Amino acid sequence: MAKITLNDEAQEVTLPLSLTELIKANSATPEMVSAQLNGEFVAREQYDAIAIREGDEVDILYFMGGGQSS
Amino acid sequence: MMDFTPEQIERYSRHILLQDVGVEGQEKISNGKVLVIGAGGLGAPVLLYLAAAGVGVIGVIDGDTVDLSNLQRQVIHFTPDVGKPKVISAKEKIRQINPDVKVIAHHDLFTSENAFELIRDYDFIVDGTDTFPVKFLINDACVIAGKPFSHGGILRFDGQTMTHLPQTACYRCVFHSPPPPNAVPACSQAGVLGAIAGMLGTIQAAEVLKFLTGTGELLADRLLSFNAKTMNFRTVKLHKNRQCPVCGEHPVITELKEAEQTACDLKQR
Amino acid sequence: MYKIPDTLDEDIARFGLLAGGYRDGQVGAVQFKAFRVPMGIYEQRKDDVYMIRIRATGGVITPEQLLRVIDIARRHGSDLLHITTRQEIQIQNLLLEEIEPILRELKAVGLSAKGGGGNTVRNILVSEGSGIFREEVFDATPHAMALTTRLIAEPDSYLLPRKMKIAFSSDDRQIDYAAINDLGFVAKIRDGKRGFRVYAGGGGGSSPSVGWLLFEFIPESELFAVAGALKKMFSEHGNRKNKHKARLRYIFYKLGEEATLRLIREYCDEARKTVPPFVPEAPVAEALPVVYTPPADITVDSGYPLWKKRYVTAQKQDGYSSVLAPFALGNLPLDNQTRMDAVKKWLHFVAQFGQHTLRFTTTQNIRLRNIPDIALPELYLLLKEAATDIHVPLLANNIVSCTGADTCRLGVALSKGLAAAIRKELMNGSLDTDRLSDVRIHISGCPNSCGQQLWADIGFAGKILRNDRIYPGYQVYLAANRAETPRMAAPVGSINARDVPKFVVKMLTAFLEVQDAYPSLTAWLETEGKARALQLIAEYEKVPDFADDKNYYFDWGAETVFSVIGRGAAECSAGLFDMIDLDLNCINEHRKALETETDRQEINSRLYDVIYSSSRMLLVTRGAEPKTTADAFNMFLKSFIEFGLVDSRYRSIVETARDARRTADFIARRDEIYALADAVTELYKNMDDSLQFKNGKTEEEQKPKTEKRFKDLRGVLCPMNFVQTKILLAAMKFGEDLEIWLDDGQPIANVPGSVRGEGHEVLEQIRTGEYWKVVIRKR
Repeated sequence: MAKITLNDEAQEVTLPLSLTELIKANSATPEMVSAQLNGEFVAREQYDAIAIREGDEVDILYFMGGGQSS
Repeated sequence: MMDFTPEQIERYSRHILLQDVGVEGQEKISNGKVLVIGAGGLGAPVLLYLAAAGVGVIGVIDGDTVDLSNLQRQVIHFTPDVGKPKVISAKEKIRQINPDVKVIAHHDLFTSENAFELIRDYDFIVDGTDTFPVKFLINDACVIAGKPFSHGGILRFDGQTMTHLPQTACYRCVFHSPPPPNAVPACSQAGVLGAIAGMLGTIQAAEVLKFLTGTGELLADRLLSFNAKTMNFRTVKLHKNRQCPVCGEHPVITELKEAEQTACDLKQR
Repeated sequence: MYKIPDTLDEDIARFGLLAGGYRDGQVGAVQFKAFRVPMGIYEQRKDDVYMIRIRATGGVITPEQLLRVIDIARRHGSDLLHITTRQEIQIQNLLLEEIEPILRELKAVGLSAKGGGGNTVRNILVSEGSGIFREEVFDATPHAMALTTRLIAEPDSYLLPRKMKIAFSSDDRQIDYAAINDLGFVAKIRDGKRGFRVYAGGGGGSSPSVGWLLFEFIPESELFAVAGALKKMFSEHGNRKNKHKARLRYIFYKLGEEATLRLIREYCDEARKTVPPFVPEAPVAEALPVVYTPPADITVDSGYPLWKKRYVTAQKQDGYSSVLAPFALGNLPLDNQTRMDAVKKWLHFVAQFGQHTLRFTTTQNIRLRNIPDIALPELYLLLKEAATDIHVPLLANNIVSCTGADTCRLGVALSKGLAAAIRKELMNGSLDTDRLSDVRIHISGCPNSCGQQLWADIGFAGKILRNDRIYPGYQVYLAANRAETPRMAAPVGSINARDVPKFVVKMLTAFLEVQDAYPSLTAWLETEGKARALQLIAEYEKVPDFADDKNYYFDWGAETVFSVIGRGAAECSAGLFDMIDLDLNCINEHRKALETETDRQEINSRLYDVIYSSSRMLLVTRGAEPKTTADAFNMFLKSFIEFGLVDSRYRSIVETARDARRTADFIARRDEIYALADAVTELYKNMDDSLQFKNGKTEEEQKPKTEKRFKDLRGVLCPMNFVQTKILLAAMKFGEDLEIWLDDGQPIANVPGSVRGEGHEVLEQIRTGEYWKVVIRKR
C-alpha cells in the first residue's frame, strides 16, 4: 500500500499502478482528462508508462465544455 | 479624472464605497472593454453583471437564436425572446439594465477567420462557449494576440474556470488538445443544473471586474473547480507547460486553424 | 470706442483652425475649450450650441454697430440677443461653424469678443449715467475706454490666474459696482484735479467681499499705472492651482488686509516709474446740437405722461433727455420679424442724434441718451411700436437675473423663470410699484454670483432643498448698501421657489406701509424688514407633499419635475489644469496598455507617445503653445532641460523622439522613458500656486499642502455622504485637506470612521450648531 494525494485528498493505493489505471479506478476515462503529477502536466500518451509512487500528488482535471447552449 | 454624473455616482455608489474599487476603480470599469463569446448559460450571468457594473463597452458574439430549452438557465433571455438572435435579446436586456453601456453585438460564429479581428479592440475576453474546438480556438487566439481571457466550463453538477494572462498557464497548458468527438458530453445529451451556469458565470464576471480594477488575485495559474452536489470548491495550482503547443518553449501553433465543426455528433442543429 | 487689438485677425484664424479640428475630432474638447473661452465663446447648456459675448466698455455701442450685430446674428441663425449684467451683448444659440465668420464680421464693425470669458480682463463697467446725470463728479467713460484699449492689447491680460473685473463709478455717492469688482475706480475731484478713489479685491461668488480701500485718491494720470500694477500683482500672487480660490480677494484672505494692500502699493510704486500716464483726450461734445423737427401731425396717447415719468430722465445738458428702453431679462428675441423691424426703426431714429446714444445697463436694459426733449413723443411711439415693455413699472423691468439653468451648465434653479413669475406677481397686484422704482431685485440660479444677489435690496440664489424628495429653492439675501459705504447683502434664510413671488410682494407691501418712517429701503431691511422676512420665511417653510401639490416640485417655467441629473462641470473652468491632466492621463493610459502589449510596433509607438506627452505636459505653465510636434520637443528642451528643471540625461531621448519620431527604437529604452515621465509628473506635483517649481522635493513631501477643499454634505444620507467624500478625495493630491460638513447622528457616527478605514487622516471633528465640521487630510 502506498499513500498518495489525489485531487487534494489522501488516498491509499496498491502498487504497482500506472497513471492510466489510477484514472480508471476513479471512474474516469483517460481521453476525458488531463493529469498533473507532482505539479507537472503529463502528456496523455504517457499515462500508461507512468508508474505511481509513494507520496505522489496527482491532480485529475476533467474536460468541461458546456456553457453556451449545452 | 472622469466626471461621473450624480446619477452615475448613485448607481455605482456600492462600488465606490469599496476601498479596493473606489472612484478610480469604477473609472477603470467604465473605461473597460470586454468581449463575451457566447450569450448562453455562462454568457448570460457574465453579461448581466458586467452591464450592471457599468463596463464601458461590452462585445457579445453568438450565432444562435433563443430556444425554449435555453430558458432554464440562460437568464438573460425571456420567453418572448424565443426565436430571436441571442445577441439581440442580450443587447436589449443590457440596455434596460444600464444605458451607460455600449453594446457591440455580432450575430455570428467565432471562427479562425474573424478571431483576431474580434478580440483586437478588447481588454479582456470571456469564453462562454460550449464546444471544445471553439474553446481551444479562443485560447490560441488570445495567447497569440497577448489578450487575457477567462475560460469557463460546466457539466451536470460541475463547473471549472481559470483566467489566463499573458505569461501565465493557458488552456492548452492544461488540456493539450480537444478530446475525441463524443468522448466528453458537451451538449444537449448531458444536461446541466441551471444554477451551475449562474455560479460559474458569476465567478467569471467577478474575475473580469477584478482584472479591470486591478484588485485581488486572479485565477491565473490556478484552476477553480466545484461540484454543486457536495458544494466542494477546489483550486489546483497550475503553471505553464513547457511542452504547450501554443505557449511552450517550442510552439507549433503559430496561426489559427479552423475549429473542427462538431464536438458532439448527437447535437442537433 | 476701444481699439481692436492688432492680433485679433490672427486669433480668429487660429480659432477657425481649432474649431475645424475639433469638429473633425483632431483637436480635443479640452484643448479647444482652453482657447475658445478666453475668446468670449461659451458652449451653452445644450451640447454643441454656442454663444458669443461681445465686449462693450461701459455698455457703449453705437446704433450702427447694434444694427449690424442684429443683422449678423440673424444671418447666422441666432434667434436671441442677450444683454448681460456686465453691460455686454451676447449672440446666443449658434452652431460652431458660424462662430468664425461672425467674429470676422464683428471685427469689421469695430467689435471684439476676446476676453469675454476665461481668466482674462473682463468687460469694464461704467455707471450708466456717466456723462449725463446731474449728480455725477465727472464722466469716467473715456478713462474706461482708454484702459480697455490698453489692457486688451497686452498678452498677459489673457493669462491671469482667474478673471479680473474692473468697474468705474462717476458718482461718489453711488459707487455701486466699483465696490464689488476686483478693481474699482470712483470719480473724485481733489484740488480741482480729476482722479479716483480706488478699491481692490471686491467680488461676489464664493467667499464674497466688498473691495478694500486701496487709495483715497489717485490723480487720473496714474490710472494705467495702478491698473497695470494690480494686474501684475494678481498675476504673480494669485492662486493658479485652485480656480475656486483664485480671485484677487483670496490674496487678501491669505496674506491679510494690511500685507496685501502694502504689496499692491509696492507694485504701484514700481509701476509709476515706468507706465505712461493717462492723458485725457479732448472731451467729445456729448450732446451735439442736432437739427430735429418733429412731424407736424404727431399725437401721443394717454400713456405718454406716465411713461415719461417712469422712463425719462433729464440730463445735465439742458434740453436733452435720457430714456430707458427696457428689455425683459435682457432678452432681444430675433425671431419675430415685425418686432425686429420696429426695433431697428427706433435704432435708426436714435442714430440721427449721434454715436453716443446707447448704453447697455447692468440691469440688462438699454439706456438711450442725448435725445432732444422735443424728440421724446416720436421716440415714445417708436418704442411702443416695438412692443418694448414701456407700459410696465420700472421696478418690474429692473429685476436682474442670470441666465440660470436654462443655458448655464452650473445652474441649479431656473432664475429667468422666477424673474418672470415675480414680474407677473408685481403687475397683477395692487402694489404701487412706482414708489419703488429704485428697488433692486436680483436672482442667481446657483450660489455663484452672476445674478448679483449680493448686490441687491432683495436677492435670491438658487439652491436645492429637500424633504423626502428634492425641490427648487432660493437662499434669500437682504439689504446691500451700494451708496457711499459699500456692504454686501446678507443671507437670512431659504425659501422654496414657488413662494418667492408672494414673498417679494408681501415684503414690498409691508415696506410701503411704513416707507415715510425710513430714510431708505436699506434702512428698513436692516431692521423691521428683516424681522418681516424671517417671519415670512418661517411661514413658507413647510412645503406640501409631492402627492398633495406637485407645483412645489416644478421649477418656474419647467415642464418636468425638478432634478439635478445631468448638470455638467463648470464651463468657465477651461484652462491650464485640464490641459495638463490631459497629457498626464495619456501617459498613464499608455503605460497601462504597455503592461500587456505584445506587438513590438505598437509598444514602440506607445513609448514614443509617452515621450511626447511628457514633453508637452507642462509647457502650458510656461505660456508656451507648441504648434507642431517638433515645437513641443524643442520647447521642452529649452524651458525644462536647459533650465535645469528636468535632468539633462533625458536630453538624448527627447532629441531622438523629435528627430526620428516613431521610427526610432524605443523598446530598449523603456525604463529611461518611464523615468522621464515620472520626473515630469513629480515636477507637476511640486508646482506651487504661481506655477513655480520647487526642486527640493523631499522637503515638499514632508510639508503638508495648506490648500483646503470644502463640501457641504448636510442633507446627504448614508452611505452617499461617504461616496461623495471618496469622490472628492480621489480628485485630490496626497497631503491636501478636505473639509466636509456632516449632519449629526448616522453621518457623523459613520463617515469619519470609514474615512480613517481607507487610510486617510481625520484632523478635526467639531460640532458647529446642528452639524459637524470634519477636516480630512488625504493619505
